[in-house]
Order: sequence, then structure tokens, then C-alpha cells
Amino acid sequence: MTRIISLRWINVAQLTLAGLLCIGVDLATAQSVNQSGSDRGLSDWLVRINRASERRSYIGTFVVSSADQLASSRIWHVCDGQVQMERVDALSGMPKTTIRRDQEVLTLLPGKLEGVVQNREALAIFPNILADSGPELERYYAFRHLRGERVAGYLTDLLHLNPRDELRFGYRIWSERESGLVVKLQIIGREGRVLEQTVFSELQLDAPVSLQQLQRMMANTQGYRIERPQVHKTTLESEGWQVKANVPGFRPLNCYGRQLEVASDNRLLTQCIFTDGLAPVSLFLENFDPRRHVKEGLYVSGATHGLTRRIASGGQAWWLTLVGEVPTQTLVALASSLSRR
Amino acid sequence: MQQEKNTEELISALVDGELQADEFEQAFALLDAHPQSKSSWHAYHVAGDVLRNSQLANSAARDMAFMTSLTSRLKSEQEQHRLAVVSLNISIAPVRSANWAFFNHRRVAGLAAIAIVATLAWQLGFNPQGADNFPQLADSSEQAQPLASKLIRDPRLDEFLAAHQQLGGASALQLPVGFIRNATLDQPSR
Repeated sequence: MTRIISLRWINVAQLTLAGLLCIGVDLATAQSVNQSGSDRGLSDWLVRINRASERRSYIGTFVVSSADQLASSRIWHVCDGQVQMERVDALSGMPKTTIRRDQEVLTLLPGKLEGVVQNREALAIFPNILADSGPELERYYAFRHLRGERVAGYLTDLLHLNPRDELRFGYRIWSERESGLVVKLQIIGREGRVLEQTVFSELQLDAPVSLQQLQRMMANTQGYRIERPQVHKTTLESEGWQVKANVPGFRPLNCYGRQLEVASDNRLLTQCIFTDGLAPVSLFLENFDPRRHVKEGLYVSGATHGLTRRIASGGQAWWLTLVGEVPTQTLVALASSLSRR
Repeated sequence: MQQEKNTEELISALVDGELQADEFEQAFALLDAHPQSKSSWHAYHVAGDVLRNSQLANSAARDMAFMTSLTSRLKSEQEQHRLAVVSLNISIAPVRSANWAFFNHRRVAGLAAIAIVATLAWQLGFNPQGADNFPQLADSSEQAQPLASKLIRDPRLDEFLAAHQQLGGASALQLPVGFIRNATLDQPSR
């Protein structure tokens, strides 16, 4: 049975996905680019919106808003056929510049002269995986394609992904009509309420963006204290855990051993990523520390929900933290689905 | 298997994390189909919270105190949420006990069931506000008040949020818009 394994990330140490996309790998679904919107299925649309951001350069102003917060940034994006780069400058909050080259991400805090370099596995997705993922997603989301209104001056197609159950939120995706670029996204909660909106308030497609300049920016971190946090791959099983029963649609994808400043005993904690293909959830496991872990609770901010809980088994105890763009009951269900092996 | 397990026990066991695989699916089907099950789900969570904050001693007086606390707690929760709404975005206050011990909700399943019935009867029969007691959901936010709006923002949670935004982008939307969304939201700790 083709399950969510179609979205399992594959180690792409030798090749970057972005490179493959930029040089126009001839996929079976390549013809979908020429199809009219009404002919495309969900898989085709997912491939289209993923390929769009890697075939164009653009500059824009990006706004993320929810009931609890408003954040904006300036975006530069370029792909030259081999490499894909993005720069994100915070326009709100603490000054911050993020530069991405394929999976490598540099985050600079000019105010503190600190920076972090990370390799983010989640930024590598094969388009042929996306081409297979539509049917799986349509088990959990009802897909509709509509004509969208103008966004940032561009005509759009509007994609609706309405959840078939109450374990996930809905999505509305505005895709620029010609390129497929996602120019607006809403996460929809109960009764059609918008929990979070991300949108380009201003966008210049095909604006000139210098890849060389971004490369230089990424290389020149003089004066900054740069951290490269160590993250190693692991699995729930090797950490002694198992998933008793899958929460419908959600599968554990990747697990990382990593260190956060607040982790107990300065030891590594485990971060496991669950996803249904659209909605990601992070599940953090660390040793229980009664001095630190005194508050079980729930957290809500926009579409992001959080939950903390103590779990015990065989005389040992752990502290569980879940964070994700899913309803609270999904976090509860994921927490309840874990057990010791 | 245990297909005879009644609805309340199933919901209670789900809350306790005690279900096996097939029962898990069954419990979710129940929650999805029956608003009353959702009320039970909610009440079990509230009951657990009240109990964790209680000085536990087996006595009739303690049970009465529990009932009083539970019904008043359900009433205050009711003022924020419709019982029929399945969302668990309930503004459960953080557990205040430093020595929290995992509590088996089944031990108070009977009490909680009585409390639920009593509370619903009270709400529907005697509440002078009647139907107006059901709150209108806010236009622009989920029903729960974020803990962050009540408490000093927990720096520990901030770090988990950041870690989720950095490594947790497992979504078909990550490359199109997820990365720049996360980079825009990801606020470094103060």
C-alpha cells in the first residue's frame, strides 16, 4: 500500500534537489506545466508550486499574521540552474538576516553579532515524491481548484485543501497564474476561521537578484560568532520508543538528536518530526527533570499549538513537548500514541 | 477484542494513553461522531487537572470538594467554549503541583460522569442566561486564550518553537512558502 512513505526524505548528499529542479529534470509530470488549471490534480499542483519557486527570481515583502502576532520580512530569491538561494531580512522584531543556499541555512543576528549555520534536511524534496503524494493527501484533505483574486497585483489560482477530519487544519493556497509561485497562504481552522495568513504584500517577479552577491554575503561572516549546532540522525526505535498506533494521516518521518540550551542536564534531546504531508509536528523527548518540568500545559498562537506532558514508564520519566500547526487534540493523540519498547 | 468497552471508559482510556491500536481508531471515530463524547473528553481533562491540584485523601468531604471544584471549573470553561466543540484548545492553567504524579482518570470516571450530568443539567435547566451562555467564538483567533497572554512567555517553549520552525518543516509547502514563513516568524530568544 502506498502510504506516507512516499514523502520519506531521502539523503541527497551528492546531489541537491534544487539543482535537479533548476536544470529542468524531465519528469513524468513535466507536461503538467502546460496543462490548464482545471486539468491538474493535486499532485500536479504540488509539483507546480514547488518547481515555481525554483525557476524564477523575485524580490518581495512578506507578511505573516495571526491573532497573536504580525511579522514581516524582505525576501530575495534566485536560482541559476545549479544553486538556489534565498535571503530573508526581518522587518519586524529583532534584526535578523537568513540566507539559504539549497539545504544550508545561515542565520545572522546583526545586533548580537551571532550566527548559526544549519543543514536542514526538510529543504530537500524530490518532485517525483510530490507527484505521488496527491492520492495520499486526498485521503485526508478534500482538494478544490478555484479562480483566485489578484494578490500583489498578480492573477492567481486558488487551491482549497479542506480537512476531512478534525485532526488537521485546512489550507488555502494562492498560486500565481503564470509561474505557480505561492503568493498567499492561509491556514484555516474551525468554521472557516483564518488562523494564520502569509502573503506577499509586494512582489516583483523576475526582478534581478545577484546570486554572486548572496554567495558573498553568506561567506562573509567576519565579526560574527558562528555556531554550528550538532544534530545527528536517530530513530524513535533506537531511542527506545515506538508508536503504538498511528494518528490518522500522521507518520514519524525523521528524528534528530540535538541539544537545546534548555534541555535537561545539557544532554541531547530527541526531536521527532511527524507529518501528514502538509502539517508538520515536532515531538521533543527529554529526561524528566522536576526542577525544570513543573508545568504541563497547552499553548496556542495562531495556527501553532503546543503541549507539554510528563510520561512515565518502568520507573523512568520523560518530558514531552509537542509543537505543530495542528489542533490540540492531534498533539494529545500523538503524545498518547508513544510508548516505550 | 474489547469491543464491549463502553464509551466513557474508552474516552477515559484515550485520555490516559492506555488504548491499543484498534481501540485508538475506535475512540477517534467516537469523538468524531458524537458531541457528547467530546464533552466527556473535555470533562476528563478538566477533572484530571482539578484532581492534580487537589490534596488527595479518600474522604467524602474531599469528594464533595472535588465535585464542587469540578462543576465550578466546568462552568468557567463553559464560559469560554461550547461543549459541543471538539477542539481541546482549552485554557487549562498550568499544573501547579511540583510533584505531579500520573493520575488514572478511571478512578474518578464515575464521579466525573456524575459531575458532567449534573453540570449539564445545571447549565441547561437552571442557568438564567440559557442559550446565551454559549459563547461566540472569536472572529480572529482560536477559542483558547494563549498561555502566553496570561503568563510571562516561557523561554523554554520559545526554544522548542524555534527548533520546530527550523527542523520541523516536513511539508509539501516548505519550499514554496514554508521556509520563508518560518524564517520570518523565527524570533531569536531575547
